[in-house]
Amino acid sequence: MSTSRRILRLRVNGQPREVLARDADTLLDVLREQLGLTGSKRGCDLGTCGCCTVQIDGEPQLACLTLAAEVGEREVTTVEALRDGEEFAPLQQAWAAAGASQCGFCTPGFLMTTDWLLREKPDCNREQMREALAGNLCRCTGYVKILDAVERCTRSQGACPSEK
Amino acid sequence: MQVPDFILRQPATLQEAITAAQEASRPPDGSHAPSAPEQGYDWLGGGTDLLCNYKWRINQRPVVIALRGVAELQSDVAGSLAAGRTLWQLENDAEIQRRYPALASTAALVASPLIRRSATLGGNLHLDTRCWHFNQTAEWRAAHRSCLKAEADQCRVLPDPGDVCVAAYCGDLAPVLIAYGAVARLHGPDGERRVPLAEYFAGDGIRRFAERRRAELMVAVEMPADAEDWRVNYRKLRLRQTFDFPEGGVAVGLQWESGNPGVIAAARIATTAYASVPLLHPEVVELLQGQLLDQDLADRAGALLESLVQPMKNTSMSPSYRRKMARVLCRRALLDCSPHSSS
Amino acid sequence: MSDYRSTVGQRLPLIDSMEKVSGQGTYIEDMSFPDMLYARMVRSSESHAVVEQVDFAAAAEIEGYVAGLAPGEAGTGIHFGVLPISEDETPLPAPKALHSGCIVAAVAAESERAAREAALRVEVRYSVLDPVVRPRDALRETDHPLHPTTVAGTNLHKAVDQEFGDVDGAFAEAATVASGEFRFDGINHGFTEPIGCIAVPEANGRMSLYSATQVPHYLHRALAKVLEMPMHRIRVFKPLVGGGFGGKSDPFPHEMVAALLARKTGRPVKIIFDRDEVFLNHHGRHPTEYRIRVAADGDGRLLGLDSHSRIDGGAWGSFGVVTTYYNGVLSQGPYRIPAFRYSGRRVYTNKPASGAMRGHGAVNARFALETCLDEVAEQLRLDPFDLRAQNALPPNTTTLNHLRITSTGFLECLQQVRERSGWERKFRQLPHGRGIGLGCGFYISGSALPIHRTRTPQSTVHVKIDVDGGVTIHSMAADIGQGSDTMLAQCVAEAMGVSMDRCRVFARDTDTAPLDLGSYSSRVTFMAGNAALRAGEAIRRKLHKACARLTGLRADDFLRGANETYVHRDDDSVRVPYADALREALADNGALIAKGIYRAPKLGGSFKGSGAGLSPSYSYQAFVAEVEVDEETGQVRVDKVWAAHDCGKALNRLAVEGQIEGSVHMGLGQALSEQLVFLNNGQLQNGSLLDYKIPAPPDTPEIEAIVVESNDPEGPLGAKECGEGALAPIIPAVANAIHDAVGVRMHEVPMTPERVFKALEKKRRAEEKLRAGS
Repeated sequence: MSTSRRILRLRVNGQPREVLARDADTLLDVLREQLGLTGSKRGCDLGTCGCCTVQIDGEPQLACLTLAAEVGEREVTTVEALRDGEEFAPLQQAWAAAGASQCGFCTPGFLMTTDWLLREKPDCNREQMREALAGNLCRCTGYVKILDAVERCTRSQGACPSEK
Repeated sequence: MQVPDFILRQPATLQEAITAAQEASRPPDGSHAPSAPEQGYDWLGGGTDLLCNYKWRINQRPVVIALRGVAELQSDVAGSLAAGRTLWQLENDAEIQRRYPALASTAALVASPLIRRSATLGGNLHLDTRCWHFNQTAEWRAAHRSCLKAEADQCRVLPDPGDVCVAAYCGDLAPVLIAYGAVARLHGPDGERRVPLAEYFAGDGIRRFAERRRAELMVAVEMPADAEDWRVNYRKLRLRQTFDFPEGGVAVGLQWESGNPGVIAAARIATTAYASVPLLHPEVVELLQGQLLDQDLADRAGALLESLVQPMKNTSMSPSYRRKMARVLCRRALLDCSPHSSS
Repeated sequence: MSDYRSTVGQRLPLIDSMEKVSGQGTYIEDMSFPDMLYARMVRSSESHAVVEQVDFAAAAEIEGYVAGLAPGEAGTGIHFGVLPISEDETPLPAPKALHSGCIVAAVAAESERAAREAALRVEVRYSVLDPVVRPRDALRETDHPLHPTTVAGTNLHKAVDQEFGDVDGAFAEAATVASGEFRFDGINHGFTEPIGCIAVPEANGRMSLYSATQVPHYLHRALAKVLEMPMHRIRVFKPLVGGGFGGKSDPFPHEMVAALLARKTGRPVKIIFDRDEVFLNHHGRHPTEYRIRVAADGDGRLLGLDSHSRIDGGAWGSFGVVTTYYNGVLSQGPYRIPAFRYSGRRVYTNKPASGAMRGHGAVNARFALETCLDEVAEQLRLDPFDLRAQNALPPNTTTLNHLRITSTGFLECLQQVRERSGWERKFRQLPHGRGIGLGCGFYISGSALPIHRTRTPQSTVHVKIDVDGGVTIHSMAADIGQGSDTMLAQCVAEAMGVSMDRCRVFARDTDTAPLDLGSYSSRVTFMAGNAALRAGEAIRRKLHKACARLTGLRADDFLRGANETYVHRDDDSVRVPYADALREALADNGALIAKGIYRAPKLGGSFKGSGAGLSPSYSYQAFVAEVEVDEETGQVRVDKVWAAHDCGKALNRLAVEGQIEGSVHMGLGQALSEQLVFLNNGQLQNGSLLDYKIPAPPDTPEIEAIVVESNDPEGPLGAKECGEGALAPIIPAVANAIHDAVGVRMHEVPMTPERVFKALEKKRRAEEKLRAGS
């Protein structure tokens, strides 16, 4: 069959972006291959690893299972936007300081879920973190240092990402 | 892995959705012959089931009709839950938590939190059946020469299946909603009809609905007025605390005799993952009715259920274990209902 | 006196962590080149077959199709492999496809989509042979062995037989014998980044290969062989690697295919695997059958160990010869064992090849041994800790098979977890259904014998410093997320007495890096770390000479001082800032350049196979797991893990803890949920992250990593390995805890709910029988 394409007007990381995409393209396809935003990773492409997690209107979503054409006017935020110019977000700094990245491939996805979690539940405990991060897989850390990093950013411990 | 090509339709209203489906299912020659697999359409809810299948080139259709923009599917009307609500919304909605606690807690058991952000109530109810010989890449299926439900004419589960497919229905919500006595509200070219969920599913792994009409879709799930009087519980068998589909799932709904909590006036039992459709188990209901719920009754009900379910060898745990676990799931789900239980 | 403040033992973030948290880090899938093609593998539909013909005609009709690569074409039949003794892989079948899903051809196209569509249309004609799937069948004679090199017309790949001491005598005089037959499913590394590479044919006729690899050097060698080009015409580049764990430690057919297609088309060719292809590539932990007997006297002193393993190698050799040895020889620690017999058999089968995976060769054997030790303790009514402590290998000794033992912190590991876990008030005292168990371990800090027997050092590190004052470190040690770049920077900075911020590590490019054998056998800290220290020290000697010129004092009298200064040994008012020393050192000389090398000392005996298991040092572990067992379902929940690991010296506590915690997590996956499932014809059934069940955050308990430091005399600043040894002990710790909880011994791994349930049923039946009989 012939390929059905359309022009999409997306909002990505605060900027309007226009792309020509196939109807069947996922948001991850468009971010990585058309917009050069390769921070979102393709680990399994089937929704199980969570490496492609982005935020849509502030909520974590799997970019690999979201059709780009379905995003519409909603705001897409990727890991690249966590950083404000030279300034890394407290969460990013905590991530590095806590040793929460080893190979780093799952990191963008974890960050995007965590960024939402800390806004939603700034006082979350480790059990709640485990639940909230249950859609992201890491093979390096055993999640210990990931939870340490999140803990550093809870309200009682330090700055919340939303206060950046 | 790209999703293979399709044409995406994005209707804004129910009527537009139905029209899009009618157009997509009309053969090019304008006749009224049933659409062949290379024709037709799929509804797209959250996409977490369908797009995975498409990426593995499983039963793709040329047209996909996205339901996200359909206004009628997004908002509940009194006593009903819109089919487009995400599982995330179901589990976090304070009213649902209060009125239908088992629905909220079961929604939270589905897949992973990220999947639940997209996955919808309608999508979960219509989850495609699953089988180890089916949910595989195109190359894998070609090498394995499987299966009936995909492009081949052989089944790897049954030696002589005829044309019967035994892929397992693995939705978590259906048995729970059945235990609440929920009713599906469907909308199609001929208007609206209502079907109790308990009667909605029938058939095998390929033909899974009692009566599916062309261009018809589920708009909402109606919760009966007495749903809050039922104590409902669901138990799920899986290996990990997240991601995994049920290897077995048992929902029980009980109503106490009035003024006599603990004595069962009415019961509903529904299971998932044990067959190609959610199963009701009238034998177990019969055993329970009029009885005082205690350990012994729960044991006997579990044992009876174990003897009734017949899982196939097509998921990761063995049929014998899954069957034995039906007993445990059933007993625990029942005991959780007891008036002294916290849930 | 020096006021130098060392970084050793601090909690240092990895030097590339900001790259990773920003999303800027570049992995292979993020790279592209002008005019690049995408290749897609055509995979075998047969488990064992001669590939008769590959037809690209239908594929060529796809818009964007550029080229196909089929068996028989130049280079596709050249043998390669990581071990020179079993170079049995070829880029494409020559002429046989050896497992369902193995690569039989490839297509290159203008887009990934076109490549996919085209690959699906390639028609392959096979002449089908019977597959060999079960290891026991592989020991039979056959007309069609998988490889011409197998033993005596069977599919036996490698046989190892070793015996030391009077084994039969030991068992004859034993007061107690524990034994068991164990089964282990194959498991996969499960790194999050799928495998991939890009081959770039350079205009000057060279070939560059960018690849997610742990072993750039072995890849370099294999490419030279397959491309029939001298090594200097080939460049291997390693971008950030999204996890390896041994799964990227072979040269692979797809890397050869990319290079051959690049040569054929004259254009860059990119291959990124889908997740299911990663599982087909595999080279993970061998499916294993392990038989073991352990003899002890009445006081719990070990008298003898007799074990046999049969490991399922799948289609190719990979690291399998080493695995076959390691399944036996690495059981010689951390206990003194006076009599030892081991026989190992590795067979080829028509399944994805097994190879090296974190804890290579030691994990399954360790499970068998530690389970039996628990049983010995039970039989003799000894505490499992006491039993292990009294058999501990002392420092500075030699095992029966000539492993040289130097530093050991084993007793401290035992003591630490015993105290922290509350063992005294828990063991055999928790309520039924809850239990606590101990498992210990022992692992190499790098293999002392290099794979290729040359006199070239195993690690060389170059350091260059120019007028900007930055320290450039060149190495081919492969950072795969474990932090080896950070370790190199720390060692050089530490040796020089400067800040790590000055260091930039280029450990990614064979054009610029001196030889290092790569990331496997837990060798990097010990070997590349020592080389880096020596390179840094050589630079510092140059700087001290400059200090001497500036002050008129003796170079040897300068020490590292605070804030990047060099300070006089006897007078800390004599202090030369690094910048001044460097300026003086550069004058008339230009850039400072130095190198450091590491070559393992000559070790071991002269018997056959004596090289296996030799290491300049060994790590030690003692782990405790506390579990809850649901007796009705067999489900095991691990509540807490205490993991003490002797890493010699924690150069970077954050990184050491991270390695321990990650190892425990991976071990828990093997213990409870991960397994590769094969159909009767050898086709892999569960090649997805949904069906291959890696523990997610809610499945993973709190892990208390306890760092024990024995200060190794030869390790860099006292350090030993910490990346691999910490995996094995958790699996028997969980099994022993299950026994403490519900009284069953698990002999099959993973210990899935179903298997635990079956074991419980069996126990219940036995108890009923006993009751009925009494």
